[in-house]
Amino acid sequence: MSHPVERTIPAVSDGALELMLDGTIEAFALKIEPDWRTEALVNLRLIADAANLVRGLDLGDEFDPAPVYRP
Amino acid sequence: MNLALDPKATAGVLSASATAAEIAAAVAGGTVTARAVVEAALARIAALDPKVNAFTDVTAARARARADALDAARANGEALGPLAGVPFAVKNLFDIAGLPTRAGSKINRELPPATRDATLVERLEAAGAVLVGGLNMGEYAYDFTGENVHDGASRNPHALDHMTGGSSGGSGAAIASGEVPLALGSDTNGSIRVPSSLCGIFGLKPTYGRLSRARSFPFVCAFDHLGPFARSAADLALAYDAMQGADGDDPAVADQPVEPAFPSLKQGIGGLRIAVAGGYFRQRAMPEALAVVDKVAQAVGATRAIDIPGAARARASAYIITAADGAALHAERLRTRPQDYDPAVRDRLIAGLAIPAAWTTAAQRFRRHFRAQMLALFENVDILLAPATPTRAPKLGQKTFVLDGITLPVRPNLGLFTQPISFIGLPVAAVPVWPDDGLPLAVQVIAPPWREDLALRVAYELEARGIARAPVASL
Repeated sequence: MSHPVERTIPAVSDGALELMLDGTIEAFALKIEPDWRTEALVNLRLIADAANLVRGLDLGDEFDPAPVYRP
Repeated sequence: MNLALDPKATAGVLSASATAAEIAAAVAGGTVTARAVVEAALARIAALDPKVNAFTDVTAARARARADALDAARANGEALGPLAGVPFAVKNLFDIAGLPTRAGSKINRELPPATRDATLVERLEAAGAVLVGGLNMGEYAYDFTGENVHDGASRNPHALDHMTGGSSGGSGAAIASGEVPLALGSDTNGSIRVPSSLCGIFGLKPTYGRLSRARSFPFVCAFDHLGPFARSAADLALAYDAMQGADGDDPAVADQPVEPAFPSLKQGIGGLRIAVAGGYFRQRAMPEALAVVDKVAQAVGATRAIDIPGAARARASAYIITAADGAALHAERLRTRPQDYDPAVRDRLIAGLAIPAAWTTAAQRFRRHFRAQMLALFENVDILLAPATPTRAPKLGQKTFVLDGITLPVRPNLGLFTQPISFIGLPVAAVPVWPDDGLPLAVQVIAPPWREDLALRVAYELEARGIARAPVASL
């Protein structure tokens, strides 16, 4: 297969995003108000949709990320 | 005290509309003292800042001492630098010795004062410029509006109930109001170019890695750039040239020679292949945002439109990396002091903490791909023109606008056209254009990596032809 290739990535479900956010809040020991969580979830949805767009282009397995450490 | 040597001769350089180049020439030539220039700037700040809220700190004593030292040096026959006596101010994420570096936040202003100036402050002062203060900004630079819940919004000098744009909002207001002729800001996703557009001033976002960020508060290390604002292209070039050079204190500074842009400013644009960015950059924009691009394109004879494939993905990738890296930077503060953040910043940072590494790595891989695509494109073109913002300055507090019939939130979408460009670190001159009697917008003059000189040449030409201009606001 020659790259890049467009592909379809399943959207992250609302339930999965809630699990991700709640796990993050727990893991980072955040103490947040309910309305903060609501707003954070709205933002996480935007990020997830952006990630879906980005991951929808298959660059192949040998494409380095941009920031490569040079000693 | 006889500050000005000849009141008639000095009236121009002491006015709000004097450029840095004019001031430096007058101070170096002895037409006016640096002290007189600084006093005039401090008087303007005192008079105008209650209206525009650009300054968070005024370093008057330091400025007066520095100006007196310059005047003494001249009296001793010493040569002064290319920015002799030019008052300037910096976004308050730059370290200023003796002040806490607040970075627009409540939290950081409680930190101990900085012990040394940021590298770029040191370099401008080494060239003769005089720091007069720190400038308002969006909290932790995660902002396109210029609003700040702790210090109040910076206000657009051309319409005080409108946004300056952010996050370098104070920088935009200080220049457009005429408080100072030169300011510094930062640009992670558009924070130099957006205020330049909304305030109608010139701004330069250099190539990523060109100018040192040492001793400035970071946001997203992969995208953070620092650069100047001014009311003329020549002033941008003077400041940019004074700030170039290696700096071991910033690991991102590239091993790149100093390449002054000022000497080539007047070479004209003959022979430059200039095209308009099409596709993504012609959608979701108000007609006036496209009109100013077309006006510039016509002036420079650009008839080609070039699609930028992947621009939407570039913006999406920048969005992800920004959220993730910003969140990582703030994780511990979010745990210990979440109530002290601007809610609009805090809630995005909390979301950013949840981003999986697979998403940021995908974005960084796309970054390499997009860079390769753009470098290939620049084999056939020297300059790309694109809108800086999709609209003129929104009103303060405005939450949404309608672009192409779609209601969108203002805060993220002011950076619609800047994010794909800074994503791969290209140099951009933001050039202010006034499409009618209303508020201005800027055009992004985008060059290949390390060719700031080309972007500034085009900016200078547009200014010389009267297409671009940055008048001081009537306040």
